[in-house]
Amino acid sequence: MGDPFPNYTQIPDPLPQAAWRAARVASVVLALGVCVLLLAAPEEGLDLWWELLVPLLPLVWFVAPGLWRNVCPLAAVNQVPRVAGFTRGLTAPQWFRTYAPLAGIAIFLAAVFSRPLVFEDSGAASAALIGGALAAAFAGGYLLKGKSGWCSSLCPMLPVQRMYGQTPFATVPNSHCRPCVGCTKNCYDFNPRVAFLADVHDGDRQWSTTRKLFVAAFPGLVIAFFTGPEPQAAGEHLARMALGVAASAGSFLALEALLPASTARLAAVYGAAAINLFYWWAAPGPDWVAWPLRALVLALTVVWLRRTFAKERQFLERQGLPAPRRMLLRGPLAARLGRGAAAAPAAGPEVAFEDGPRVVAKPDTPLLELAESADLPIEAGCRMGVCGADPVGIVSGAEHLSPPAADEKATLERLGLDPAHNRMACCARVNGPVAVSLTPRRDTGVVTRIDFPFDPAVRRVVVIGNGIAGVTAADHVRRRHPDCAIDVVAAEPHPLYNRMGISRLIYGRSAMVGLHLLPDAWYDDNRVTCWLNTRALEIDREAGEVLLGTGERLPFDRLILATGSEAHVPELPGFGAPGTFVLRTATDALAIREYVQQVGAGRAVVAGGGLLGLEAAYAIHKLGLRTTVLERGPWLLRRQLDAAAGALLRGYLANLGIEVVLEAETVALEDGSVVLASGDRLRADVFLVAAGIAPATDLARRAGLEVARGVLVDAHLRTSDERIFAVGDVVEWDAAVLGLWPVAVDQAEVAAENAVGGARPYAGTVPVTMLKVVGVELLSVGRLAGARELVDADEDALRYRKLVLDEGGRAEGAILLGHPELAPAVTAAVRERREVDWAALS
Amino acid sequence: MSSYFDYPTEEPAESDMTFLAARGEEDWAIVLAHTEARRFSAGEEVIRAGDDDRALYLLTAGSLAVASGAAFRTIDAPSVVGEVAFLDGGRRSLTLVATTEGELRRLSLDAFEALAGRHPELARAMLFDLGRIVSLRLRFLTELIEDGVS
Repeated sequence: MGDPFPNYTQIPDPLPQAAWRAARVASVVLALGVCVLLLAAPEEGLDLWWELLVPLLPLVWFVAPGLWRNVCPLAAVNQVPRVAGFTRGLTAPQWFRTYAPLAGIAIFLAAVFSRPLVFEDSGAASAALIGGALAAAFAGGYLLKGKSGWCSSLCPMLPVQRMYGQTPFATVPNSHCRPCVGCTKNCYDFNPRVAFLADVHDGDRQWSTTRKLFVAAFPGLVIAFFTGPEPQAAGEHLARMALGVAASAGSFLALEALLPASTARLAAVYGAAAINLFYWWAAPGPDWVAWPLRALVLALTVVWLRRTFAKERQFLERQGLPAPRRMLLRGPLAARLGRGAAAAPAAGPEVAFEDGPRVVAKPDTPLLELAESADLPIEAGCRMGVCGADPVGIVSGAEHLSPPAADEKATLERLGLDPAHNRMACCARVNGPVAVSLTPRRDTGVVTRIDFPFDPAVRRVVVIGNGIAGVTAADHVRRRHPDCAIDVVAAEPHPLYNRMGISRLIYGRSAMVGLHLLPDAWYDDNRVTCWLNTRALEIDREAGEVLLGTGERLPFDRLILATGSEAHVPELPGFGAPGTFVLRTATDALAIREYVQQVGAGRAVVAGGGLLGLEAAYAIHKLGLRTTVLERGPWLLRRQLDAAAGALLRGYLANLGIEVVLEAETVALEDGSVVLASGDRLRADVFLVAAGIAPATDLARRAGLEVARGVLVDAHLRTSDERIFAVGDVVEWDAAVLGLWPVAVDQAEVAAENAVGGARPYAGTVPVTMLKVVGVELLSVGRLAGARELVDADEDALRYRKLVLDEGGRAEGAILLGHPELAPAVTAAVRERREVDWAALS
Repeated sequence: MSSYFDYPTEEPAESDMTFLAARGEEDWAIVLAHTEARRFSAGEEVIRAGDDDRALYLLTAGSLAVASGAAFRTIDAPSVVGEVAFLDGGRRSLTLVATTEGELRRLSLDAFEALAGRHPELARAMLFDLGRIVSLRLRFLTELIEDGVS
């Protein structure tokens, strides 16, 4: 069963809007026609108006009140200003809302009282009555919003319509108010079946009593009007009318007091009595018309009363129920987009994330980029397929992804994932529709074993260091040598994690979740014994043992040093006090977040405008601290950018609220402030040094291995002891310490192979830095300056690209800022030292 | 009683409830370039109540429905969706279900930051305009509450 009290938007409309509009035009024309007739031929006009039209109206209101509300000529002219758009649409003041319905009742009574005296015999007066009402309705519609200027307030017919129309036989929904503007309390047009009950039960006593009083007086008014002897003196007539009204109202009050029936029921009975009394006297036409009409009204009234009583029961049952939670749905739901937003549908291949969104990719976008911009749970690491942070399963459409390179395959294999069904998201660029799962598929066996003529004399391999270099080395030893013992010794308490993601530990709330790069079972599956949180104190080369801080000794046939690097801290008075930090390990990052909360830090200074410094500054900024970056040189990211690109980046950071001070030399930390060589002092609750790395050579040095800045190695990555290899950040190779993940991974594979009997030379790695630093995609590869340079800059969009060419026009290096789409082509060109069609890259 | 007269009530004029009304295609191209395009089909839950999803959505094609109890209203393109959680970082308060197929442009907080770094004036205008829209709604609610009291 449906809602017994539907509002007009829930009631089906039998006619199209156009039909209602036509009917309204016709009714206004008819009303004006009646006026003209009243003036031109008063006798016919008065007959038509008072003897036919007026007597029929109550029956219409009784049977299908909504029909009349829609076509009433007064309502039609009242709504003209709104439809035509020139209404002032004012909200009615409170006094008007209170007294206008009373004024309507007063006008109605005045018109009825004076009908025989003024109107009944005067065409002009009757025409003036109709014309005046039309003008007043129009004025109300011009001034006030909705129907509050006439139809729902002043209209003298309204109280009669509300009373007779409270239980319509045919419910016709309001066709005027689109949309409803909520102009009126207990609006009849909004909810016709409940409006009268709502009035009678209204909590405002004055409101309910005046409506009740009108109904109470109505039968008496009808009786007095029709029973007065004719002709009659005006005074006597008015006195009779007033007496009738008073007697009727008084009887209502008496019955209300004496009978157990409810007020609404009594009001319904009075209304029913009034309409029957009216048609007793006013039924138009000859007897053969009038009598059936009277009978019809009586029959209808019986049905009407029963339905009205039943309806009141439903109303009362609902009174105790909580109002539906519709508040949320009221009011404007959504703002519109400005015209300029007229957007063509996004074009490009579709990537469907399992249990996630379907996103439209620009061609050649890596899956990682798509997942990140959708804020899906994925880790970003090296962005070169090396670190293993972002494996994803490919559900379908693998052929629409750029093919995996050797690095990426090796990483997938290390993770125990089949490259046929999985990809590193950072490397897989989309060229067609793909379905992706953020959980890699592990259902297929992976063969990682490499058939290699290993040296069976190598029984025990020890790796010191559990970063990407150490783990990759252990992995590649195992791939080539199925049964030697492998021990990995790590000072840090965490299994291999994504060191490039540690800045997130500062601002994010998920701590180490998601940061680990290997499945938990990896060490066991590969039969690698991992010593976490364990220090290697000494390398005893004579005995061929590593002495651990716990007292154990690990014998080795081959040792791979992967101790990595430490944060480099220049000599700085005051550094080391609480609030001073470096950022190298997960533990460092967690400590910064902890400290900021502990002391309620508000300002931070980061010394160092390199990659790590900017990442750290951005992370601290996101945590809500006011952050300043100090850079010793003339521009930011000097190892990756030239001066122009550095300046662009600095402007961007300034816009985000991160201040950068260039050519700033920190000389001391005093009283919570950073003192610069210029004499400036900057307050800093948190001070972080990001001044590059220092290879962790201590162990090698004490073991007597040859060490310069880093541990020195030959072309096979052997140290000065032929049983000992070194890989990763700890290595100095070609007179440089690079500190990059791809370099560490390349070296680890070569050293692992050589450790188990190989003789593979390390060819060097072209340094590629591909990062998203502070929300900007950055690629820096090879040389940053050279014989010829091609540069395009778009300062507004923070896009910059520079290609460095040698004399022969071959690519030697490149800088790309905000051009992720060019990264694969440019990197390949530089690695292969090819000529590049720069103009075609766009 | 009030539930019988849940007037949809007067919405602020359309021009008031328009996001970046005065901005031309060039600025809008910048905004859209920072968004991610998502397609949806009818019946899909496009935004889920309770989700931690700090992003602004621009509905560029199709319709979404807000479901709350029996009542039901739709949002049609082109509209802004989700500005509340975007501004306050709280969880999504309503579930929106697509009633047609269509397209959303999603501007994540990170993407907004990237936009702000590049075009601070535009980003400022966006925030002011979102603030203005949220304020209009607050005014509307205030009036509603006052009407309810009187």
